[in-house]
Amino acid sequence: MSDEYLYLWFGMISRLTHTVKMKIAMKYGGIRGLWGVPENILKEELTDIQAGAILEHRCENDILEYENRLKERKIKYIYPGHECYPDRLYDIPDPPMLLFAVGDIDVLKCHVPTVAVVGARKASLYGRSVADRIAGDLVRAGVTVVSGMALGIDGVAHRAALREKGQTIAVLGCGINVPYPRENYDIYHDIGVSGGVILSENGLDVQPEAFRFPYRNRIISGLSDGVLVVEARKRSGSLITADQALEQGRDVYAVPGRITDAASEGCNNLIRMGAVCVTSGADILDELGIRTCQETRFNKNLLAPIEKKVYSCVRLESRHVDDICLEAEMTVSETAQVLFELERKKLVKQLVRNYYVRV
Amino acid sequence: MYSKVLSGLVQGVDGTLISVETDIHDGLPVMNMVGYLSSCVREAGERVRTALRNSHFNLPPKRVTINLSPADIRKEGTAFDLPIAVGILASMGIIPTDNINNILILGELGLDGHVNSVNGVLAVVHCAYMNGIRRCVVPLENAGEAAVIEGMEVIPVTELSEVAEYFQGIRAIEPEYVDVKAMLEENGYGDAGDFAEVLGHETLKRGVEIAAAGMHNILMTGPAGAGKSMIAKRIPTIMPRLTLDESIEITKIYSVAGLLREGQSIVGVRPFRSPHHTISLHAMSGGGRIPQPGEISLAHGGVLFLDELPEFGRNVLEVMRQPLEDGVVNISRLNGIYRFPAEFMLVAARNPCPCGQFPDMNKCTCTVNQIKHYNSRISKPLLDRIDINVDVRKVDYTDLFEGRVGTGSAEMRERVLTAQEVQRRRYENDRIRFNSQLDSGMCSRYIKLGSTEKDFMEYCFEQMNLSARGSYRVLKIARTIADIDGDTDVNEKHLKEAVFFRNADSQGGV
Repeated sequence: MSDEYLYLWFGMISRLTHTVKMKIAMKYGGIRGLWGVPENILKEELTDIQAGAILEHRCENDILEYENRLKERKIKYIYPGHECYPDRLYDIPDPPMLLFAVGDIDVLKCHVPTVAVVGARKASLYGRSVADRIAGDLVRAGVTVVSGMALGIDGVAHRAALREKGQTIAVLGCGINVPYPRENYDIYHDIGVSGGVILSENGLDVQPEAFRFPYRNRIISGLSDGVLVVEARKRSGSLITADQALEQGRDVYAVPGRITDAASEGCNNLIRMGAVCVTSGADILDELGIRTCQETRFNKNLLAPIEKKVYSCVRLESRHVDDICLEAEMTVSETAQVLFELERKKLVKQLVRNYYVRV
Repeated sequence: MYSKVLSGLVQGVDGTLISVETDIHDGLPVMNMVGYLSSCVREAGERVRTALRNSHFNLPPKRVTINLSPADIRKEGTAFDLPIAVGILASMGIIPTDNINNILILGELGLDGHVNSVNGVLAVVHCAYMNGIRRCVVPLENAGEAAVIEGMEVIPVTELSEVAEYFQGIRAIEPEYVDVKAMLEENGYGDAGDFAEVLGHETLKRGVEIAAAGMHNILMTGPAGAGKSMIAKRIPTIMPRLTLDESIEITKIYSVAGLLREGQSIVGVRPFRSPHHTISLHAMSGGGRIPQPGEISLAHGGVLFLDELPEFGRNVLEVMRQPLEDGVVNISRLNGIYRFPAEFMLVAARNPCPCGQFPDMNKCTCTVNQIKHYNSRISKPLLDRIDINVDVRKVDYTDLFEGRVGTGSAEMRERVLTAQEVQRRRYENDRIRFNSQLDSGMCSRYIKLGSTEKDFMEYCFEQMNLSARGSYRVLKIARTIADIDGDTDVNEKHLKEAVFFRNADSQGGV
């Protein structure tokens, strides 16, 4: 029995959490030890559920069949010792024993800086626009963006990376072939074809269950040099990621919010506890020690006067068209046309219908 | 002796003429009524007999046979009482049969001989006029409604004895006359208010203006209390006054539904219907054993305002899909298919999320799933049929109290009228009236795009994920905007604004 198959078999056990699996494996002298323990001893010494989960696929045929299923779906798997297993994961306390992967796994070998961008699922317009800007800045500087493909901030970060044609890694909390949430199916698909990679500790058809996500978060932070929390409420899953990042010795960055914003309470707390306060992509690049060539900022003077006028009325915080018209003292019809032109030039964008924000 | 009187009934909103034949001959003294009668028509026999006696006409002890033809149409309603009574009087020789030729008679009888009002008079009188009938006898309460048809001599009556004397030629009754034009002018716009009172919603007002000009459907999304209902109520004030034809069409529907107020002869104001969201399917589409027009027909020619759109039953909303495309609703019943006109402008309003505060995340207490669930209550096909989508935000204090004045109804109406006039001239030879009704063939005929415009549409199609239906919608809206601006050709600037207002796909981003 080769190491490869042993790891795969261990990864196939999806009904137990990572911690429990590791505890059992340690008890019997590692994965190879566990493979060889007689059935009656397992049944005696473990709970029914644990023994059942371990014995479920403990035969070579099951593993080969499983491997075929993976091949059919073009799913690869990596394990400690595999040439593509990310170096960063070797130095976290509880590295995953197996990662399923879709996409280009060579990405994991590259030693480019990586930053995790995480945050609330229910993000405000402010959070979205900030996540979009910073993720875009990072990707343009050659940083790989890691996130969890969830709704809200995660999705925005991935989309920004894909838009800028950069590298991005998505770590799923569910099975590798389960594109959850459905709304982000486009990300799942685009990463697969655009040179990024999707990872998951869980095998085929594992449904998203709440307990799996904290484990997923340790991989997100583990894969990254630093974790940026864009928006988090007082008690948020993103804070778990930040905690784990600290345990793993990663940097934690946080985007400040207004003190009255419930959606930024978690971030402001992080800053108070010592997280790096980040207001632009450059702040993170500085922390990582990456030098960027002066960004080619667009020249506002190249815009037509009327476009300049409207652009100056659009803020970093999203604004309703009515307010923009009012400030620009133009009719709705003119404003709409100019805004469309600016949107086309990618200077402004609509996050929610009729609310505009600077890109 | 045999006699024949002309009467009519309503099917859907259109009238049908019915002949009431009466024959009195020797035999056992019974009254026989035939001709596919419903029970309320069958009961007419009793009412007529008593009304005749109480008006001092004694039925001879003979066999009376009454036939309502054509015999294959189900006879409903109470309007046959008076024609049957007149027919009996003619057969008794009290009224000369020559005097009742080519006269339409409608009315219900009380036992004392009083003539009571009936529903649907306008539809029947209109049908009679189309068939060359030029005189009608109707209950006094319905006379105003019937007199709307120009060239029809309308004789208002209150008592059976009066009717008999009229036909005997011993009493003259002044025909009813109404000045329809004056009535339309005078009715004007009702008391709906003025757009000048709506402050700080300039985008929405422009959207409403475009919608009204091309009869496009519009959906407003915004927090509670932002002013969505206030705006919807004012939409009829920027639409053109009703023309006589339109008015008659609408009055027919209201007459059938029995919704004309006492003494009201015509519906002179564009309908504004705002049914509550607990409305049933049949109340919306029209229905019942004998189909009555529903809200979508009652809004014909005007505005159907659906506040709190997601709260409406799903099937209630889906039933509007076909009428939104065709402008009519067909209802099938055992007795036939009834066709009600339903060309209305759909104005819908909804909150962005259950608590109404999205996208203000500090106030919004909904979960992501709640918002998604809330939005998914309106089906995509229905949303696809809505041309103009505008999000409104809560107005600022400054908007309300700093003394600025918004665009007024008169100004907006002027632009709407210009645009509608352009459309009327353009579609003179087509069967449509508004830009929103253009089909794909007509789109390419009436919306000529230059090369810049074509490039623009290509850009939108590719970059903005516009669907095929979506791009036609954009073209139609652009056509209306060009009409408002007084341009013959659709330019890039019109397309840009159209894309801005169509904006169907960028729904609340979760």
